[in-house]
Amino acid sequence: MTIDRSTNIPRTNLAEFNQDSPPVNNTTIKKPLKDDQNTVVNKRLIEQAAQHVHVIGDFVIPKTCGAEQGHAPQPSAGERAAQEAKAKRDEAIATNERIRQENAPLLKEIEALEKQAWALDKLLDHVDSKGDSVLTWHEVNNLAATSGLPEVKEAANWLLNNPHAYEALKQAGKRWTLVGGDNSETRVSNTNVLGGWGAGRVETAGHRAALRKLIEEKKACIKPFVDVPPVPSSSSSASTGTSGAGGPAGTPEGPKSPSTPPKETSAQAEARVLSNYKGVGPFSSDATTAEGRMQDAMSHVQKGIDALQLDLVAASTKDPVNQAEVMMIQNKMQQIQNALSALMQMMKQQQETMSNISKMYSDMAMSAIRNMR
Amino acid sequence: MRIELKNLIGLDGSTPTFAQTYGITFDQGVEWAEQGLEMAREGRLDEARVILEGLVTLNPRSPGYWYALGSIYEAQELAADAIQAFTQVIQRDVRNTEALLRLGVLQLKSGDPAGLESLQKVAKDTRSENASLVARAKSILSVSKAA
Repeated sequence: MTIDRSTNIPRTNLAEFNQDSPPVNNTTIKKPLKDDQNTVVNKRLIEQAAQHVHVIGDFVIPKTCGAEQGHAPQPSAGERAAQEAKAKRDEAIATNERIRQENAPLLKEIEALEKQAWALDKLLDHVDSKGDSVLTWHEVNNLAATSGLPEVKEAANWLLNNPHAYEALKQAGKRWTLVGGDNSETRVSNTNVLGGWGAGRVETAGHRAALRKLIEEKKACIKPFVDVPPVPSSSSSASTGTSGAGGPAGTPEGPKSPSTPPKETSAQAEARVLSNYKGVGPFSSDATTAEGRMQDAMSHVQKGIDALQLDLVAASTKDPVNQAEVMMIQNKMQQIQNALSALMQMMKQQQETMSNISKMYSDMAMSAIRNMR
Repeated sequence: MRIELKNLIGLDGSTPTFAQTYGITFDQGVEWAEQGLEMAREGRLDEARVILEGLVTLNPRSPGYWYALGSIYEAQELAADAIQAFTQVIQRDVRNTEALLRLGVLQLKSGDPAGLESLQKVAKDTRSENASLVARAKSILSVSKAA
């Protein structure tokens, strides 16, 4: 450490400052000049004298950096804990969002498989009830049009609307029932394959079991979400011991009264009114350059503004219009626009000074986004 | 000049600095500065300069950042920039004798007689912890007078 905050003594390397410098010795300097010698010579000698001082020592920040002027105030212990809790919560939310995105294709696949399984169940019920063993594309059409059983009808319609699923079922279960796929294909009975209805049912059950097993296997691959810590309390009353207008001691989180209807909290109201905005999610950037991250940050902020405009439209087209909600959205928009302006100003500043703050830039952008959310 | 003072936001205190706007605390700033100074100690002066210039942009009111940046400029022989940096230190921390000594020497090296004035101020420092700095300033002054 080069900053000793426990003392007021700058930790500049004074020893090196003095020891590394050769002593300034008058013998190394020419004797005093006559009055008639010109000032250029004087200047040269002064420079020579100065050259004897090697000021460069250790690189340090003197204790005067301790003056926190120009910095944001240091958070109190309680605030720091709240910030850390919030950061953990944000991280967990971001992690869950990432997991959700990673799981999305798998969930879609599982959904399709489950739908196939559902359609299979429904149509096989139909097959069972009719004592039939064959289901052609024409019959699927007929079922969709005429079946009195809503679920059978729905399953048939779903198959018609999802010919890929029909094909998949046909391929997987071609030894039992589904045949066709186009109008020209002839009927194929499972009896041709397995030699009887009973054998067909066995094969069908096997296919259903295989389908269920496949779904379970896919479900096992779904990554679980991480636990999201609860929202840290914004009130400092817990740490200071002061109590505001809350309930009696000992029941800080209990319901106030069972007879009072549940009242929407401000957080809930905000989540409802700013639903589009909240859906934008936390800021993240894969950019590897400071400029890229800043661009991402600005793009993220712009998305926030767009989402707020949607929220504003929704709030202002309600009947009757809730002015408080509209104002809430407008205030939020103003905050975001201020942040956007600041970011743009920062970019301009960055270009003007031609300084690249590298890693800091990312932190700054993220801090900015965190602070304005 | 690498840093144009007129471009710095919050330099004069009439507007908040970027550090204040974006909630960057002193501890965070010092942590970054330490990273920059570590680079300087390893000889990676260009990188260190970028970090410290960034910090000065974030908070131009911190004499500590100016001092560290001045040291880096000085090591890179960017005398005019170093003089500006140490001048900023003195403006914000008039009792920073070391910055004053460095400023005086740099001014003398640049042929600026104001360096003598800076050194004379150092020589008047009566604080015991600065005795070695005072001795150095007096030594240079004596040579300069002789010249």
